[in-house]
Amino acid sequence: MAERIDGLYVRAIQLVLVAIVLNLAFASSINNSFLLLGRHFRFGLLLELAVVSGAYQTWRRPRARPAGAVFLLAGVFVALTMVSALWSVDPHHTETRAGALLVLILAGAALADATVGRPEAVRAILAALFVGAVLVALLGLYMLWVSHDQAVQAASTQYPARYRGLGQNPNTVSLLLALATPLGLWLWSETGSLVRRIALAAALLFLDGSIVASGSRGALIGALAGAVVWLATASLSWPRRLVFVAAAAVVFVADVAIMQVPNALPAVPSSAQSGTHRVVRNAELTNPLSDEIGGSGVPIKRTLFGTSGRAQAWDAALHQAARRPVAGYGFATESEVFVDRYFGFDSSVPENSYIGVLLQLGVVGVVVFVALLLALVVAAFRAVRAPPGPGRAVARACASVLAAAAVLGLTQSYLTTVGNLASPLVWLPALLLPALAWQAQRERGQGH
Amino acid sequence: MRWAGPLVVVAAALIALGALVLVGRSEGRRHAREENRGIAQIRALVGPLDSPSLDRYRLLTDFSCLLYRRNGNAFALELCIDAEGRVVEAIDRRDRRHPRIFSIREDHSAATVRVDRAEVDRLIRKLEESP
Repeated sequence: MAERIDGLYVRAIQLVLVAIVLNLAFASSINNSFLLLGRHFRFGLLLELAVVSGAYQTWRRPRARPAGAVFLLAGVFVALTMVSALWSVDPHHTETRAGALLVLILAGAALADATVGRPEAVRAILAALFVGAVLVALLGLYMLWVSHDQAVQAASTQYPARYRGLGQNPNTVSLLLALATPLGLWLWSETGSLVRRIALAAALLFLDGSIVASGSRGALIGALAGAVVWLATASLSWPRRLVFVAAAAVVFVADVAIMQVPNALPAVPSSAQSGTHRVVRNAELTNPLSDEIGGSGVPIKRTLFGTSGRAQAWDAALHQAARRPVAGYGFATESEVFVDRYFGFDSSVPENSYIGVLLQLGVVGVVVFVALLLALVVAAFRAVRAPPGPGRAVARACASVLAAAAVLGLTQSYLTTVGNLASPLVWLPALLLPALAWQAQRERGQGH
Repeated sequence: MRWAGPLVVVAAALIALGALVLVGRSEGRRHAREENRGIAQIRALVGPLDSPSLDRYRLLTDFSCLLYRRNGNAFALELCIDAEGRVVEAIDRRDRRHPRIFSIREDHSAATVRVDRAEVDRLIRKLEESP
């Protein structure tokens, strides 16, 4: 009976997780119908996850509870986000988003608590997150079928045509798919059935193809980081691990080469623009504020190693952060505070999670946030040192997602944005790590 | 006595958060003061809003802007005004390479420089109708 109830809880959590990933993707969609649907339900579903996870935790009543630096630092960070409403430039927005972060962290902590020593339950959670990501990728194909214009961002003089699928821009969904890639590798390696292996290999290929078609270089690097951690921590001899890592690098190089194939539109010669001379009084048509700085009139060509205007945006965001250096402008105000004035850059945020935290919560926030990430890295190291078995495999999967997430944070502002479609895929596996580390330590202790 | 240690930690955390609130609010006030000072300087450089040097306008979701000519530069000085007449951004582009930008657009309520919004609308309409 207890086993059946446990199974029901796990299934319910899986369903809510898939619904959350799908719904957050809807909330970040280019399609207005999906967008309205997603925005209506996103925080309600998050609350539902916290309630179900809390109920599961209460029902399990784990005798041993892993505590430690991660949960302490997560608590300090959430407290900081909430208190920042008192100096925020938009207190109401700060309060609601900090509340959402609290709910997500509580759900993650409850799941960590309830799944201690039960890798099969962790497996179910991670598998649900992967299924959610694959469904989002499949919905991208649906978008391509019903509306090519929405699913593909048209080519410009700066960018070639880029696949965005369901997302608002080409980087939106590819961010989620990059985080799901190591989970796919893990599920593929765990599966014994040939049919499932083929299905998972096809899913992985599909995720990789979607990222390549999006032209999102950050997502590709993030997926590589996750895959490398997954492969490098395998229970294999070092030479074999190196071979697998080299194979991942070869796939990465091939993906990058394919990304370079589509071309941006040729620049229109300036003479072609001249016509009857008439003063355009609306300055926004000739000199938009969003191109105030760095514009030379010559269209920027996106290159393999270029930052797509990010370097300038980061520099400006750092200067802006320096105006309120200690405590920042308030949690979740990044898009209100950052102003895109940079020619060639096209985003309402600086596209770097760490600089984003600096803008929102100042140096104090960055110190706490980086300390939290470091505590998670330490937990990941401890968790993957478990004796070979299902516990070690799920720990490697969570550690791989953490690596991909941290790398992606360098080119995307998303790590602390709970409404972002990738947030459950980052924080839930990450918060499972302390429990897995605690279990690994116990198993190692028993082994001696 | 068992609770003394945790109580000290909680008290220290509360004091630290309280201090951070004071610092955060003080930083906010200082930032607003500096931006408003810059906006006021550019507002003074513009002179009357309906000055003959008014050359262009800009219509955005959150505010509208008026641009004034200086030494052949049609975009030299810019004032951006929200619906309530608060000047939330001002730009000095007399040195084209290094524009000076002062902005409080993230928190309109902190803007202290004000103009007559009805006049701004009238001037924009006039510019829209001009050849």
